[in-house]
Amino acid sequence: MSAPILEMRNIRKSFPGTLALAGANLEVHAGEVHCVLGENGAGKSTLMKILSGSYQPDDGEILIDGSVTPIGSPQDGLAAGISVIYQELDLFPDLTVAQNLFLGHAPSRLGMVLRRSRRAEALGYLKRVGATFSPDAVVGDLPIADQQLTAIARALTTDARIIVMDEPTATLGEADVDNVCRVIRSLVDEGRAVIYISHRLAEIATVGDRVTVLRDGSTVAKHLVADTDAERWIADMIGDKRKELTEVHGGAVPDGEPYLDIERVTIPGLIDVENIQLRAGEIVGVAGLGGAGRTTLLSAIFGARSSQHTIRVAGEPYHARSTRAAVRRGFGLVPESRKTEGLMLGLSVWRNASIASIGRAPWLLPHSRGKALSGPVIDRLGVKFARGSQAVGELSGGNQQKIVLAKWLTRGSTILLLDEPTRGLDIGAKADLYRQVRQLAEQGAAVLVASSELGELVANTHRIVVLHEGRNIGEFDPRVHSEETITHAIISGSSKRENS
Amino acid sequence: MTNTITTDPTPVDEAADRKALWRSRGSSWLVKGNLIIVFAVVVVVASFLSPDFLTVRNIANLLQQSSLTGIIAVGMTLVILTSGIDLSVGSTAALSGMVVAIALDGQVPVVLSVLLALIVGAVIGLFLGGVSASLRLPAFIVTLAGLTSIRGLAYITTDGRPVGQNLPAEFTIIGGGYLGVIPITGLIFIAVSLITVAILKFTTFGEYIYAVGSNEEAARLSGVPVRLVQVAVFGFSGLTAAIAGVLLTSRLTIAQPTSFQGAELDAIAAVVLGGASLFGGRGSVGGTFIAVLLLSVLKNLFNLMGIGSFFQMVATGVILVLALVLNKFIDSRARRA
Repeated sequence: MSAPILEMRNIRKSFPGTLALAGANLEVHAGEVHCVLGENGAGKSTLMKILSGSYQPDDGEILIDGSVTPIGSPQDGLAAGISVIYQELDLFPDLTVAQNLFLGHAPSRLGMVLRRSRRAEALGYLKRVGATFSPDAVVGDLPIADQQLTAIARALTTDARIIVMDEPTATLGEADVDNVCRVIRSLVDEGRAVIYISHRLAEIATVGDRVTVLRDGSTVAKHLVADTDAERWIADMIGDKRKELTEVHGGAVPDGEPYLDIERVTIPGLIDVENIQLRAGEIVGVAGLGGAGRTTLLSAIFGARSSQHTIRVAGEPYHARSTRAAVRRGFGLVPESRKTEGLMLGLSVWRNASIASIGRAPWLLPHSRGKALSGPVIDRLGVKFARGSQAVGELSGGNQQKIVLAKWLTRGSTILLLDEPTRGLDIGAKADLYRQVRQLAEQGAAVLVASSELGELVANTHRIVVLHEGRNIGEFDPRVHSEETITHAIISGSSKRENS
Repeated sequence: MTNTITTDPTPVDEAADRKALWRSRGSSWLVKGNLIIVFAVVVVVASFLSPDFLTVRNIANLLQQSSLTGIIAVGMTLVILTSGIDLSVGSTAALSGMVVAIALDGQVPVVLSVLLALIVGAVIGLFLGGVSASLRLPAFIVTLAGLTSIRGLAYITTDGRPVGQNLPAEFTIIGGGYLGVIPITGLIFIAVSLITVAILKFTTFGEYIYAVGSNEEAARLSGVPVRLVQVAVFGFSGLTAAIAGVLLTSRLTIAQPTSFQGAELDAIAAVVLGGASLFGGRGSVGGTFIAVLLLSVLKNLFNLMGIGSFFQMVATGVILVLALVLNKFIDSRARRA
């Protein structure tokens, strides 16, 4: 076999609190579609960001055509012939296709863009990716599949030899997927290499040549697609979880009537979730791959985005028509991004903690009332801060997250929806947060936790609902099912071992 | 279990912590006090330059001059705190001034006429705010449209002619009268400011204003009635504009559809000079109040020094920018410390 066009050797990268890559290897040959597989947090995106030059590795080297090539910046990456097509296509929606294709390297003379030759060249690239739309079309008006083709065509205009595609088919329908796969095959037939990241294993079996599996930041297996099947890859992605000692805190499952009864929540094209019940005092986890619909489900229940739904709270029908209605009915959402959605960073600790609780008659003295209401809650959560009038943006991540939680405890919310509550927290802060959540459940709250960290859910929840491509495909009991079984369901979308 | 967490001795160096606290308090006082210091300096300079400056008459005059813009600026402060902007206030003030004069000419009792004019202003504000919030249109554009069309309405009411030649004395005394040596308009300015301070500090609505301006999405996800707050601040801004309009008609004893041209810009300048951020969430009525006084003291000073009004315009602009630069400089130093 010829020398690899790209080799990444022993790449290591750590972020504060986590080791993202612990010696990952990747070997890609010209003329192949190379698939990179791994669970959430296995290190796929970090590895690709190092390849593109967005991140710098702590250790390890990158070889292109057999010679060591340091990639210090995205410009270096482009110069080395590497082009990354991100999932959330970084196109300019208000510009035309031709402008997007040649942004930064348009054919020009004396600083004037040669529009005619740009259009002609754009037409050529579009033809090569099998696109039928005009180069004059405005990108934002195109359907998502055509935007995907535009992104691929743009990678060609920089004459990229190594094209990284991150979940290119996640938002596409079946016919569009077929077309993208055909384009990918034609690219590698020209001698380029495509690095393909997808959670859809069936697609990988169709389009891929070889597979590299990452687990916990290391390369654990390499396979030829032709010689292996999806079961084998899944086994490699999961690894031997039985050896891990996870402390299960779940405790006795409370019984009684369901407090929150989600009969069905639908947003066409995004999620269709049925039959999730929570009793008071119960902590239920929501697991799934990125894009499986965890965040969408929680925000739909909270009324932050509109959906068709049939939900009952304590037996009474509940209509999530607005966040205000949800808050009044006892819901509290700890959103995915605490800085942009959870907190008002410039305002004080007290004001943040009491903002959901002061909207009651007589509408007066919010400060002293808020201080009196939230003070004991903040103390109970053990938030560390200099003084209550301190801006919440000055606190550490763990303490900030506790303030978001405090907002709902101050309000007395009985149903907590937690979306990635431990993101960006160190291990101590994570354990502390879950300890608080378990205590709340013991006091009678119903808690729904969405997380990409399955280990956390296994350790802290009574049941785990698995979402796959917008549907809930099964429910698992962490004391009965192994983490391995659940991970299998998360990846494969098959609920063979469902507990019902 | 929680007890052990809270009573844990915090591993923070307490002395250093206290020092940092003092430093941040000191610097925040400097940022807040910055304007007052500038104001004091200008007053001292003015009293040296002109013996007339610190006379009761001049100060009363000064308060009277600043009160109308000041009242508008106080309403504008609330809008800007929610990260909105209201360009329609000058036109709304003019229209309200016309409405009160027309009503009085039609033998409507004074109280009812004034009330009518105030309601017109508030309804205009509520309407513009409602359009902006419910259709998610930028407030800048909606109120810019308001600026021209409401000015048009003001002209339409009398076909462009001034109105109200025979306004009753019990009405004209509001704008022109004095309580002792203090002009009544000045007292109204102070009262409006105090009421607005109370709204911001002591009501849930005030708390929501800061929340919406600081992070609209987080406020929405906390169950804050974001749109309602946005509509309400525009209603308030319309109301304060109407108050200013009524007072001007009362003071001049005649209403003109051309009044308050460019008043929206004076008000915005005062709010920003008073330390409010155009991105919302930061600012205070107290800051606006001082800034309004500062701007008219400067104008007064220029007049006493005999500087022409063309030069005054240039100098006011330069001072505005310098004050902002100074504020930003102190702010970023405080943050680094």
